[in-house]
Amino acid sequence: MATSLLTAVLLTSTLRPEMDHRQVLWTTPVSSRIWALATKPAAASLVAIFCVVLGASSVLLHPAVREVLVPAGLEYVPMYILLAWIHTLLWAAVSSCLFATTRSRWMTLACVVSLDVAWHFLLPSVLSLWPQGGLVWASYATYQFVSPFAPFGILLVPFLLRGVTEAALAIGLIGVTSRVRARLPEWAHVRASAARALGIVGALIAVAAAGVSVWAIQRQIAPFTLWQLWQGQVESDRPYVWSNDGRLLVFPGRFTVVRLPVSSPVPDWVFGLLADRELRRYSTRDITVRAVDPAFEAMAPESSQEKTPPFLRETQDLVMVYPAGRPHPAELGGMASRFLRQLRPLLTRAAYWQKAPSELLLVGPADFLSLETALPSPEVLLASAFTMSNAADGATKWWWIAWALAGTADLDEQARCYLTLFLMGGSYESQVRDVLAWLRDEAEGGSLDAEEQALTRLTQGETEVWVACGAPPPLCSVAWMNPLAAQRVLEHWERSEELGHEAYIRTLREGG
Amino acid sequence: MIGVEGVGRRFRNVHALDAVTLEIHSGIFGLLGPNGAGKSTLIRILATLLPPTAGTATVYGYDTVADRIAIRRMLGYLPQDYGAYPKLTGQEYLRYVAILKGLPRPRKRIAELLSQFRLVEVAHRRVTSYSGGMLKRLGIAQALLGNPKVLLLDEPTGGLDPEERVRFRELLMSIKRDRVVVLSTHLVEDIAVTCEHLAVLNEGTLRYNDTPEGLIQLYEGKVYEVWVPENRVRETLTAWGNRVLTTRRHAATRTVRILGKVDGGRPVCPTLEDAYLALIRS
Repeated sequence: MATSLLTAVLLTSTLRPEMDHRQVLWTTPVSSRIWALATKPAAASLVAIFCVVLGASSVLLHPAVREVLVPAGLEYVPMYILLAWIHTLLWAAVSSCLFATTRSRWMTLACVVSLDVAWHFLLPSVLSLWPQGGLVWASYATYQFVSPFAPFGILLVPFLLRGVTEAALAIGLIGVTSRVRARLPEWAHVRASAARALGIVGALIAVAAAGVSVWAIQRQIAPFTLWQLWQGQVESDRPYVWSNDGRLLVFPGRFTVVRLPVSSPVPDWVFGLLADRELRRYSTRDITVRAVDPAFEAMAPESSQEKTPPFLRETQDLVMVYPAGRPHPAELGGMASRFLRQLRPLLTRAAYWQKAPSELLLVGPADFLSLETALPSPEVLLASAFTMSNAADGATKWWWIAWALAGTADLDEQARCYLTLFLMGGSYESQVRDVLAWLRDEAEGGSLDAEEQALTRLTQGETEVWVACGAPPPLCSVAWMNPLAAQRVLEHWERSEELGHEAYIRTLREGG
Repeated sequence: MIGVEGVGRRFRNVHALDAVTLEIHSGIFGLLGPNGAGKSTLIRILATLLPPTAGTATVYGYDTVADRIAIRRMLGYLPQDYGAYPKLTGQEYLRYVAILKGLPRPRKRIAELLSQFRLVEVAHRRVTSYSGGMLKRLGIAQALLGNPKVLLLDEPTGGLDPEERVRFRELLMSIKRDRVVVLSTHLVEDIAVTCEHLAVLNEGTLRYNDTPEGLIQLYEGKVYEVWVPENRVRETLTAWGNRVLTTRRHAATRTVRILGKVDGGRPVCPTLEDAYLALIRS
């Protein structure tokens, strides 16, 4: 929204006086020279560079990510600037065409905002009426799959053709604008045939590029659902990126990740990817296999038996193929070391029941791993780039990671809660104190009382009543509105304080 | 210098100009006519902004369609609805136009023009803060950048107060040497004071093309003046209809100039305004 509006504001602020000044302008000898005509694309380029710099500056200002200027690597900066330039040029062409049509600055701005709203909100809704339309939208209409693991997007062809489509649309719009402006006598000498040709060629290239992109995306959608693959009803004969119901099956690129049912054979085509790359297989337990986007929920076939449940709790194996000796993109080195530094206090405490992991392996995108199971393996840390970054809320993220580490002790849920508190106690002591207070309240039935009061208020005519858990999410799942469980967690904590944590954890592990 | 041969211009079904033929030589040439007469259309054709739909127009032998760039090199133009870039200062704006005209080292010329048009004090102010008169003066200054051989001024005195109008006429007289100045206006006074030749356009057709004196001579002995009491003005004017050329108020009476003989009227020597109005209404 910001790019389109900024472009439209800047462009119309120059087009308005140009419109008033057009007669003097077009009676000067240099007005039709190439360099004079190139001033608008040059201005659009400056806006594009300004947008990119503005975006980069906000990243630079963020202390947590300052060390990673461009996560995908600096060598891709020219490519991103080119794409940003094309995108800005398109909005400049749209604004220019609208201004030539309406001759009103405010009408142009209103139309640009409406178009942008339609592009981001209406078009996805319309596309979702078409099976897999949401997937095409997600792949084609946004750059959201650009990541350190896939600098050119998850699919190269639509990534590059989006730029071609936008450039062609811009060219077409320049032709249309020339025709529209020719209504004014000063521009009447613009050759109608040239403008028409520009418009037609632009439209044809745009339609062709968009068509090829959609075709390329469709080719990557498997003819089966994730559920069918998990049930062993089908086998993936080639690397489909998405299942028929919009679940990510393969994340292609330098760091390829393949999602498979546990213990199922590795498909032959995976071995074809090897060359000078390594292949590892990890079992990630109790994974929540989620849709990439809620919009995909509507994409499953109509038959209810075929439809994958929105949240599928299953185990999965992740087959990873990555450059030998490089467990994650080099550009993420700084981010990885910072993550490990922050993780160290937790790992030190977790060493009471597991040996320290030997390696950090990053996985992208986050869809493959939930926060809950980001660190499942004792010998290898599996962490998605999303988990590692500070994109998620800091403290909540670390509660989830502590919860995952506590899970590797194979104890019951209340003991796992205790271990989570113990792990977090090293770095977040005040938060642990708050959670203990919350547990005491829960043990005395605090939430149940609150719920009862809420129900009473509802019966008295209140229409909105909020009942929420006041603790970190993983602990809520065990102790919220469960006084007995809360009491049990507190008992673990109190006994460990008497015996000492190390001794108590040993006792727990030995079944005491 | 400027040749217009059977020039016509049609906008959809409207004939803005119809087979106009005239020649313009150096000095100030007036284009006179009521609103919608086709003056601006003719000026825009000469300024290479508008191709004619019939006939040809040439400037110093160059065709206004085929040799646009050559004509633009010798052209200064002030359009009727003139607008400058509001965010630029007067000086910056003139520098910008100088770049568009491809003038090398225009600094000195800009300073001269700013001084000539009394814009020195406001040269560093943004154009948006200029009064209508200042803007008009800036417009004429930009038209004069590069010492153009042809100066096309479309309604240049519109929006100027009487004092500025007088100054403008003096200025026009001072710059007319060795160049063609085409002055389009509907104000007869501007033409009367400045022009050696004029053309009168009405409804797209050329009605007269010669000297102002010639136009006056056309109506000598045909204009009568009548003194009418103020309380009978309305019924008198209604009775004479469009034969009425001008009226002037005195204490309790008005003098009314009429085209053609009327009872009680005395013949008078027509002014250029009388002649022009008589031509338009005949």
